[in-house]
Order: sequence, then structure tokens, then C-alpha cells
Amino acid sequence: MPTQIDYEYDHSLYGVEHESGPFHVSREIIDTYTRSVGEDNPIYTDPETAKAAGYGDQVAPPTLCALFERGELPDIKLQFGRRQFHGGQRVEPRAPIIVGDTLTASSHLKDVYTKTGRSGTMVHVVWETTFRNQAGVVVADVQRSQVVRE
Amino acid sequence: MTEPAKLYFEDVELGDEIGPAIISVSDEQVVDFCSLWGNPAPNRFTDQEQAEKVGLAEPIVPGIMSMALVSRVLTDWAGAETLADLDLVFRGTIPHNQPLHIGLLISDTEQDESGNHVQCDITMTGPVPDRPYIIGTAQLNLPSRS
Repeated sequence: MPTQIDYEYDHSLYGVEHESGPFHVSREIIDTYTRSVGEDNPIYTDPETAKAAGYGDQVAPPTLCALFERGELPDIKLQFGRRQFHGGQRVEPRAPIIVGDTLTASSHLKDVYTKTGRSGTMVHVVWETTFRNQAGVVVADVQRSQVVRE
Repeated sequence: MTEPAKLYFEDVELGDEIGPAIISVSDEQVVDFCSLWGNPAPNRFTDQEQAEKVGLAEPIVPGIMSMALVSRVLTDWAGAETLADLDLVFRGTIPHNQPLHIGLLISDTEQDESGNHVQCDITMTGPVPDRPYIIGTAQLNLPSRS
């Protein structure tokens, strides 16, 4: 029989978009990112290869925009548990991110729900963020799930 | 765009297994990544003492860094422009300097008016294959030979 878990949080955050940015995608950012994750596809590392493939310049790897989510989301004032960890991440690339792009992010609280397993009950807090470039084109949708343990 | 195709839809069949690709992440790579991410060392991802303060046995690889490793395996296999959706669940903490096995299993293939879609299941494991660090799914959109 499932147990009802009490947890409170700021429900007024639903339906509210939180804007952040701008985030300038410099060549240095892409180069450091590719080097740190061992990425060697020349589309992501070499401007000339990227241009020859039809892009305006060096392309960012598809998950790079997740870097810009950190610290930009409001506190939902969850009254539950003490230990937090990053439970999951989803990235849906929509259009290439190119060196020189300036991104903005629009985030909203998507869902807050509980799951109970062998280690107890956990509250999942899911934020959804849409990244757009300077032309207003959506370049990626990102979901981040933060988990709080009892 | 015009990147030469690395892989065509017709090259992939339901049940195909790709990999595992074996990758390890050095301490220096994590420090570089955290610096870029706005979380400079020392922190729980880079420093033993900071990790222990939050109940970890050792410094760990950040979740979004491990996602980048999975993305790298996918695009190395299928091409830079193919990734349409990557959805990962972080099941365990990922250590530095240890072999990480990233495997793909093709779970569905479908062609429709919007393209040629390949779904795959993803696992990242360490030395114990049945205790994955990461599970997840991806959708790739591939070109067709026809």
C-alpha cells in the first residue's frame, strides 16, 4: 500500500517563465568543452571542417547548452529531505549552435512528483528550459531532474 | 548541412548492439569542465575532502559531463548532425580515472514523412555490468540511401 508523503513547495512557480542569459558561445568555450570531454569530431573542433560542411563556423556539441542551466533556476522552497542529487537530464537539439551565437534561456517548472523505492521516498523536481539563439531560433530543449531524498 | 553521412538508416537493424565504447575521465578533464561550468575547483567533483563533506566516497564526474560523453559516443557512431533526443537517468556516482563502458542497443527503427528514426537504449557501466551508472534512451535521425 503506497504511503502518502507530505512535501510542500512553492506552487506559484508553475506557469511562470524565468528568463536567463545572454550566454555568449565563444570559440574558447567550445574548445574547452570538447577538450574536457575528449570530443574530436572535426565539426566540433575545426572551423574549416565545419565551414566545408555548410556551417557558418565551428559547431558546439549538442549537449553544450546544458552548461548554461546551472544556477539560473529559482528555489522552489521544497520542504522535504536534505540530500539532493542530479537525477536525470534530457537534451533535444533543435538547431546547430555555432561559435559567436548568443543564447537566451526560458525555464519553467514542469513537474514535481515522488517515487518510492528500496532506499525510501524521493521527490523529483523537473525544470524545462528552451534555449534560443540571437535570431530567436530554438536551438535546444533541455529538461533537468533534481532529486531530493528523505 | 552537408557533413558526409557516417551511417545510413539501412545500416541499422533492430537489436543491433554498438560498443561498448570504453572511456575514462581524468582528474584534469573534470577540473577543466567544472571551470567552464562556473563551478571552479575545489568542489565535490574535483576534491576528496569536499566530496566526503557531502557523503561521497570520492570525487565524481558531473552528470552533464557524463551526458557529453554519451553524446560523443552517439555522434562518433552516427554523425554530428544525427542526435535528436538524449534522455538519461543518473543511477550511480561516476568515478574519475576508471573505465566507463558505454553501450547502445537499437530498440526501434521507423521511417515516416518526418524522417528516418532510430531509437536506442543506452547504458553506462563500470566494473559491475548489472549496476549501471546511467541508463537512458536516444533518438537519432539518419539519412537514407534511397
